[in-house]
Amino acid sequence: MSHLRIAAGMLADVRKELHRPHAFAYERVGFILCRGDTQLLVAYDYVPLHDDEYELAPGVGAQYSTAAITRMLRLAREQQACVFNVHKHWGVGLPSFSDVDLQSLTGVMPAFFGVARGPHGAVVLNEECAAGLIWTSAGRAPAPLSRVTEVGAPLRMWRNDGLA
Amino acid sequence: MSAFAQEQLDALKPLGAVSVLTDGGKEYVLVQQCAMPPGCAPARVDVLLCPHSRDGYPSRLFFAEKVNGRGAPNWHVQARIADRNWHAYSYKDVPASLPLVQMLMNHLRGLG
Repeated sequence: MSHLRIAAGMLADVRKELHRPHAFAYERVGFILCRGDTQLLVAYDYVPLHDDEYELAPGVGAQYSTAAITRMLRLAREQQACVFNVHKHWGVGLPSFSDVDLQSLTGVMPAFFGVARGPHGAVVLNEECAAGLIWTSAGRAPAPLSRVTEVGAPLRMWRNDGLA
Repeated sequence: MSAFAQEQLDALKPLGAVSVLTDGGKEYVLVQQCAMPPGCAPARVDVLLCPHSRDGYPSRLFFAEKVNGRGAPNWHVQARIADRNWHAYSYKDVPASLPLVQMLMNHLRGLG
């Protein structure tokens, strides 16, 4: 059971920032920094990518540069943060990660585990829902985040643990 | 067969193409076009991580060219390793016991 909690105001800012158009990338990417462990993670900061940290990459929604990764690794190391990649999909209902998402995330996770203990992971949003994956070590396959909770009024929770 | 765990080499791959070079019986890790910290020039440069003691330092990071950064480090070393010229600045106390990616990131702190 893994649970990510994020303040409603922060999540609104994340959605708004990810919605901004980019000169050539089809979608934006950011990173949510969290404190916690494999059971409970609390988001405390959101770090968007800079415009110049995207690369031209036909066939994918967004590709970010090694400079972006280096910047995030520095933050992760300095703050010993649990780092969650975040991006946005269109559509309704619980969003899911594409094969390209999974491939790129799997490639970058070992670097984050090299500088900060973790866990680390990823979140995908749409306008109404959120879902996530959590990596507990570099060499293991990710597991779905059981719950993502938007902490505000009203409290909103998205479950992916097979429970109603 | 490299002495480095594949997991550690994998952790460097998001930073650039990674390969292991041998020189003088010792292994070095080459990261091609590694991104430098913000504000540095050039923004990317090949770096060679020496994850063992050398020149009195527990580990070292060599650069294919000198990098200008906020940190203004003391570029006092020129070396020829694996048939290539390298530059390094004085940056102590990065233990070779760290994971490779953490070792590299710690060395880059010298650039600011």
